[in-house]
Amino acid sequence: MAASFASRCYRVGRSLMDGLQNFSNLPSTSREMACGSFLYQQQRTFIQMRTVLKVVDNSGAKKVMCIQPLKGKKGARLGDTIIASVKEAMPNGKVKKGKVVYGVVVRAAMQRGRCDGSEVKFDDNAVALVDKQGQPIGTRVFGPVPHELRQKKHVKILTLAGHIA
Amino acid sequence: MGASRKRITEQHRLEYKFLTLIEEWMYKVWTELCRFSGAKIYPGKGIRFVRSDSQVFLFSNSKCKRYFHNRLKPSKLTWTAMYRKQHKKDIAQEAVRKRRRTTKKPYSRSIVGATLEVIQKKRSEKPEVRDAAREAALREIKERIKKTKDEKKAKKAEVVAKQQKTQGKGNVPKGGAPKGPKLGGGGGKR
Repeated sequence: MAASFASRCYRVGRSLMDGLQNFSNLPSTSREMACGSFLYQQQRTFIQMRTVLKVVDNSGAKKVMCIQPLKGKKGARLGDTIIASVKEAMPNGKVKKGKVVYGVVVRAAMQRGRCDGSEVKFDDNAVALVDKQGQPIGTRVFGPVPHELRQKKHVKILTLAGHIA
Repeated sequence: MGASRKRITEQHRLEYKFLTLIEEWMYKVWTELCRFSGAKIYPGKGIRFVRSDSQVFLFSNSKCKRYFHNRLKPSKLTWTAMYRKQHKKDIAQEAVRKRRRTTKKPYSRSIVGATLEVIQKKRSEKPEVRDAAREAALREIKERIKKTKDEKKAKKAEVVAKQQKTQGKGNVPKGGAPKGPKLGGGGGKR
């Protein structure tokens, strides 16, 4: 009975979970509490309002909270742009705390289907800050970055990236 | 009108071919190996997990992915390739296969003293022929020895006859002479 519930949960997760507004607490109860039981399967969901994301460029901001996902009823996925508010920033940076910025999601814990049928998922949710025209504000991007950005025409971020997954 | 239409369709066909080639390149058309279990991942299957340190993990199914995230070790799970390798299963079969492949063949090359033809002739000789040749050679040697023996015997007989003839005349000088050839004959016989 427990098994069936868990499997149902997993199937249901992607499509219906967002409606339940369990956004950021689930990803934060992280893998560190590694339990042997398979009931602990993580349902990763979209990036919505109030999702805190890491900033991976050197624009000055450290943590950013999503205000609005552009283009997506349920939320932003890998490669989408979001509007965010800077929550934590480095003292001398181009971007200050409290500023409203645009960002491109470069890493998402939610899996994204690739055109060959496989799926990609990253370890965390991360964003690269961008201006309204889509040009990155920072000059460097840290960590791995997916192929999907090429299709979304974020080529500049790809060129700045150190590692393309 | 007909000629222009023909040209258009050919171009279209080339473009289509070009596009499909690109698409083929973009799509994964090879099998990868699961990082956890060692199983083959066919195109369209599998989950790719990219860790924050840019390390990429490929899982063949959610089972492997789940075990990985729950920090289970593949070397402790009997069904994974890592376990089998560690506990040395299936290695005997592989070793047998490898041994069969290395069998040396006789290398034909001419050497100083025997050209390639001579070597090949000797190799292709039948054992009877070889035995016959050997026997013939032995017989030859035996005959040669016999001949020398006979000669020496004849010589000795001559010398003895001569000795008997001239025994009255003088023994002392002849005493030394038969000794000489006899000694030589004795040495030869040996």
